[in-house]
Amino acid sequence: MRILYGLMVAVIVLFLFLKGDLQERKGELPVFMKTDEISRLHQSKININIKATYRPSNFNLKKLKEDYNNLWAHLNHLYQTNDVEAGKEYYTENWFKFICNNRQTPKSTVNIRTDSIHHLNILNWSSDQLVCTAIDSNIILKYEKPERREKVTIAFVLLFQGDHWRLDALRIINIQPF
Amino acid sequence: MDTSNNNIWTDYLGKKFLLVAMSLALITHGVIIYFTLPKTYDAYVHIFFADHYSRFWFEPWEYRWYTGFLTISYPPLVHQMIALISKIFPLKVSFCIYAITILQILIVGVYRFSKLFFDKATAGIAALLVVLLSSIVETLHVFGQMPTLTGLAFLLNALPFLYQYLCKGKTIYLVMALSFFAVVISSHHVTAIFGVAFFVAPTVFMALSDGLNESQEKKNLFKYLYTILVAAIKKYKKLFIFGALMIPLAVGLIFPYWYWSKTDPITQVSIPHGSRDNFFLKPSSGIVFYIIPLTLIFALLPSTLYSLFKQRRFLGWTVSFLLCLLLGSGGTTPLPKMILGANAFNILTLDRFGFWASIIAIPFMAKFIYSFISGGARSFWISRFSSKNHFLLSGLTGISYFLFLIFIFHLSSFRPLQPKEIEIEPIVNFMNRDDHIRWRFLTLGFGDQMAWLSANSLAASVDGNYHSARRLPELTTRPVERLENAKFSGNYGLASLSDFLTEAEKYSLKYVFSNDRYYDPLLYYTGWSRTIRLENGIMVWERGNVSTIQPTPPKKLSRLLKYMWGIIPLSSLVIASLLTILYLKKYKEQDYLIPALKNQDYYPKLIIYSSSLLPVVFFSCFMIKQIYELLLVREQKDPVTAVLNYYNNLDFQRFENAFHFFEPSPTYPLDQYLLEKSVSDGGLLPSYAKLDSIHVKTIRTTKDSAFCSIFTRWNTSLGFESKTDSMNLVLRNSKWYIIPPKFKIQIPAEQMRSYNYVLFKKMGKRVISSFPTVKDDRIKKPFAQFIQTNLIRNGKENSITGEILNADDIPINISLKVLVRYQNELVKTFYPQTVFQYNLSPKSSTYFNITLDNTKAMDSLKVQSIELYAETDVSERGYIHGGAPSYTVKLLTSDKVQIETKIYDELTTSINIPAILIAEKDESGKIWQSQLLIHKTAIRSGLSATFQNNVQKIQHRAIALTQVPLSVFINGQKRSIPPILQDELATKNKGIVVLPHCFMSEEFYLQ
Amino acid sequence: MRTLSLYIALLLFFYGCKSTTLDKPEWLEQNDTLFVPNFNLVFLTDTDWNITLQTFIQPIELKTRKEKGKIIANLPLINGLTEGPGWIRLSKNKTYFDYPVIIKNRLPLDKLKKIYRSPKTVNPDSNLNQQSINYSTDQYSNLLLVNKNYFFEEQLHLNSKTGTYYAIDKDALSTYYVQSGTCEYIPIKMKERNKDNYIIKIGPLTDQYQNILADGTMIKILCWDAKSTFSMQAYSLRGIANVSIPISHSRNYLFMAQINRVNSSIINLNQ
Repeated sequence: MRILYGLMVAVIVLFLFLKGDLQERKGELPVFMKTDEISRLHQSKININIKATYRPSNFNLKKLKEDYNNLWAHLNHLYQTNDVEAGKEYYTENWFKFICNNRQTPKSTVNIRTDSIHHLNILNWSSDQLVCTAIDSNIILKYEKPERREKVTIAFVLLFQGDHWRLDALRIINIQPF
Repeated sequence: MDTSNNNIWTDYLGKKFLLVAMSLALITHGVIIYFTLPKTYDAYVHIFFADHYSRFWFEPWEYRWYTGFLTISYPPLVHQMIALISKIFPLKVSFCIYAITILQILIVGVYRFSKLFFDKATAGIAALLVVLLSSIVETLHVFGQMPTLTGLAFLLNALPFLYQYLCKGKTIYLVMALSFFAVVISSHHVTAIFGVAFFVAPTVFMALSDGLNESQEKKNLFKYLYTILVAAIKKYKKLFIFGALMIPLAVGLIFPYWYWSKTDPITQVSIPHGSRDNFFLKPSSGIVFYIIPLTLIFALLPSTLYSLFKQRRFLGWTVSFLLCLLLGSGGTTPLPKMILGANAFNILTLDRFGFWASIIAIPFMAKFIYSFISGGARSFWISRFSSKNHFLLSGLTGISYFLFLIFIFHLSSFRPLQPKEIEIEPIVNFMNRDDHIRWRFLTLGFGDQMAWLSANSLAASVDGNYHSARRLPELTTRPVERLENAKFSGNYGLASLSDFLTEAEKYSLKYVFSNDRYYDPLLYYTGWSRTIRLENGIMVWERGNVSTIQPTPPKKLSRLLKYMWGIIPLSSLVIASLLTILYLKKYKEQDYLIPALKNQDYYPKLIIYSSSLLPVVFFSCFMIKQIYELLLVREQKDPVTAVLNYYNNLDFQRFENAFHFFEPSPTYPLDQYLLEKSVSDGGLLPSYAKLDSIHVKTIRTTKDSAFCSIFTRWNTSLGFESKTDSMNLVLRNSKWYIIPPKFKIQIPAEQMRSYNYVLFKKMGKRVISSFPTVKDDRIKKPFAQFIQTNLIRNGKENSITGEILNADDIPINISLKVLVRYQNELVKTFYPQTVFQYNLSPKSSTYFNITLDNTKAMDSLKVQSIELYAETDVSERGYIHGGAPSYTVKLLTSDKVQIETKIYDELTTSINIPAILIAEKDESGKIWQSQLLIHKTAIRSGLSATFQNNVQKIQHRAIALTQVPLSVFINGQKRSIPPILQDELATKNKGIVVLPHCFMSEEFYLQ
Repeated sequence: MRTLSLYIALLLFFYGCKSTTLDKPEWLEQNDTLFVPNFNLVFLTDTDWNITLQTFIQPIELKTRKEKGKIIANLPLINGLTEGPGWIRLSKNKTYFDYPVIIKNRLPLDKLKKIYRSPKTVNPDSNLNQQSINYSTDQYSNLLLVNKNYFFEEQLHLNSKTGTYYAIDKDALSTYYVQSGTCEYIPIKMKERNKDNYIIKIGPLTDQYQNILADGTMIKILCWDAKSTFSMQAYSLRGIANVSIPISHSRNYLFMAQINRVNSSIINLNQ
């Protein structure tokens, strides 16, 4: 009798457990409710020099600076962890698909990189305020383990999509110890 | 049977009744609740809260309603329990499981509570009564008030422990009482607060009274009360311990709630509620909130009052019961307001007091019922009237009460409380795709199902269903329930709704899901366009130029409070459960209650007669009233009644019923009536209106004929409209019939009509991707141009008037916004309401009129500058304004003109609301004012309608304020305005120019 | 004695557990440049190392296999990477060794040209100038040098003819548009008169460059006599609109068409 009761209880518990699996309610917040902790904790100095024919408005420039700062926060995070999802708001689809080619389970490594200074030279700015090409010269990057510093110059393209400037393409022009 | 055997027998019977009650509740309510749940008022709100906890247990910020609110504004236990159950079962099923569990606990609670008064058999009857009591049926199946029932269930279970603690002084009883009170506090704050007054105090009184000896009880009332006071002082330690522990419990368990009340007090103005009405003046409120829940109580009132007054120990309960009955009567007398104070009276819903009165009465009703079934009252009946008559009487009472209960279950089918059930999946899918979730939405005509939609989606709405927590000024400053049923809140409701629809940008409101075409005119004229009709029949209205919701951090609350909220209330239930198990195993004594030996099964003759007969009389009266209304109420007894009932049927769209008020004639069948109706209706009145008031005046009457004038006032989403009609009536076979009005129909000359218009299709995102739109898919901001803008002051009123042109090759949607900057750095924003065409065809223009602050405000605050912003976006809809108006302007006085407009419907669809946008121009071409003039009846294709409007011209007394700097911006770029050109056409027409601005309900331009 | 033996045993035990220092493995055929994706990195070592290729963008854990005294690593998937400096890191517990490399893609590289035109829609009422920003990338989002530059911008003066043009051949997404401008002149003519209506032809409507006005251009029709004014709206299709004005038996109408602020001549619709 006891065995029978035990079996019945086991069946009921299993049923409830399996039902529970089906009733998962999504707890992922929409984008406007998500706080970007990675960007929030990141701050670097960004100097901008405009060499483009069209000049961005102060508002657009401010937005660019903010998004560029956040982009680097996520690039550093990606560098350390290979977590491609975290910075999705700052990548174009093209760039995102590219980094997803080599995505692996994100894990924290010792490869910590921080950026401190940027010198942005905006070479091209579209008149509709949606395309920005620039060369960021003399980026000071600091690495840990082993500790070292580098001065890097990169060329990149940013496109404004959705609510953010997003990285589309990149080329490392120069890198030297600092 | 000797006493001990009697006790054993009643003990056994009582427990049997309890088990039967619990089983009956499970079988009946357990099944029915699943079907009545969607039609209740509050169930979905509680389900929404439960959904919140199931997703974000430790985060009290709920962003989905009102731009966000804190869920610490409501004790969480009920919602958390449903959330936990929903981990295994779907939400609706979880709610039902929870509801039935609480009902079981309530039944046990009533049983144990009744044992404080009478023997176990009576308590068993009381338990059975819970299953059948109309107040509980209504609370569960009509209102869906789970927290109220939860609080009550645990409160009733707590009271016997409290009683035992005061009588016997054992700590275990104190602990048990406190643990159950803890659950009450965590479930429903109002029950906790008022429970002390209406339940705890009488229990304490009863315990003190039971501690007195017989001689003390027989003293006169004042001496008796004094003795009670002395007894209380003697037991001060116990009372003090109880009080001293209850207070920190009440504060600590839901401390975040008190913290929220203190730091973010409710600013909502009082919202009218039916329970506060004068039930004589509003019988419908009285029926729902007083009669239905308390019918049985009133029927058994004689026996209840007799039992209450018979024993002094029940004195506290007598006061409590009568006070609850009084407070439950709402605004019928001024006493409830005097007792509660104006503030509390206007915040609380008073039906809860009537509900509590019904609970207090249960043991006493059970006592009589038991006596009637098998006690002294039964013996009385049998001795006087034979057992057959007694059986018949019992049967009749039972059947009539059963029918009464069926009526309650089906209350909604007699007078629908909610719209029909709406399938929400298409709406959820719509919001989930294509980033729609980045904007807010609003539902119209969903009833309480809007909470169900919110529970199943992560999208945010500006509306909500928990009024105490909202802080949006457009809602808190008006006595409005929800935006989605704004039409039922009169002017205030529509004013609030209109605010949100015109200030959509402020709250990132982009989508409106409309289930009620009543709101279509308001949506259209405030710049909303129909986009798509979903598979469930809901129309999606969309507004252009609305930016996405900006990232908003939730309201800050300390982590400690968040964890307290997530852990402590639930812990109280867990602890109460564990303690109950411990108590039952180790501490429960046999006959632990001091038996109420003084209870005798005796009722005076008068009480027996009244309490035996009143139930069957009351319930039969109820049935008789229904039969009377169905059969005998003469709806056509006189001309006025006939007309009133005819309009009543029209208002509720019961056209077949309305038809029966017409004089029967073979030349006027129902078909003819419906056909005539379909071609003559369709305009603002009556298709988009609700009858607000009607007054019928008999002009002439003879023996068998009458001529009446009917003055009706209709509430439309664009404001009130009045109409005067006249009808001829004849008397046939003692009934007054309306003579069908001669139907004057215009017949279009053509049998087939055609109309050319160009449809545009916005390709939207051509790249099929979940990523935001790429640069190459972003359509440029269309070109627009301000033709003129003027700041006009007309006495107390100030407005920005002007004209704006679509300079592009595609239809555009324009949104306008005025920023008035005052000298103290105050900036106010204004939007156009209905005097504007929001969607324009290529190369077309529109006038606009944006009302600003009044003169006093503007002058006192000192205007620094005014900026007018126009944002444009490509439009696919709404740019066909229909109608070809021809107009003649007659000068009535020097500043008043009469515009006679004839609108010809050249389209292939009916123009449901013919309207024109007029502008008053002076000789230089400057626009002084614009108005929207609406015609109430529809125009069929190929036909025309003429209407007249008198317009007060203002250019001779108003002034154009040119000293205030006025800048205009198009898509963020500052623009200049070309010089104003003379308008010869305006000059020719006494300064009046006209644009058609009609609404077509047929979605003929949706592809 | 027993206690002492116990301590000695414990000491030996902990000494034995202490990790031994690992030596930097030798990379056979070490090359400064790492050609991706088909490489095999061979290290002489007996230790079971984790090998990661750290690019400028992301760390990629390489697939390894052990052979006698060697460990061989390569990319888990055949993909290109961000070109430029990187590191190969061998790590085990807290010990790691880095080998700097320059990453170069050695797959057939596509040259993906991107041309962004601004504004995308041009109207001849304003100037017909358009900005073009061009750059090229490979399929791994590495910018490519074109004529010694990564980016190229030019200002173009467009054809005044309305139409849809392709910035990149066959790439629908790269299209840009020339719209028609404002109507300069509105020709109107009574096309016919029947028993009930006047049929008036409006058009052909063109801009200053003889482009036909866009379909759906709203034409305001005004028709008046001494008593009343009749207004309706017509929409052009391929530059033409035909309107039908009902004849009223006692009126002498004047008729005019208007687009924006441009008026046609006034014609008399005589009885």
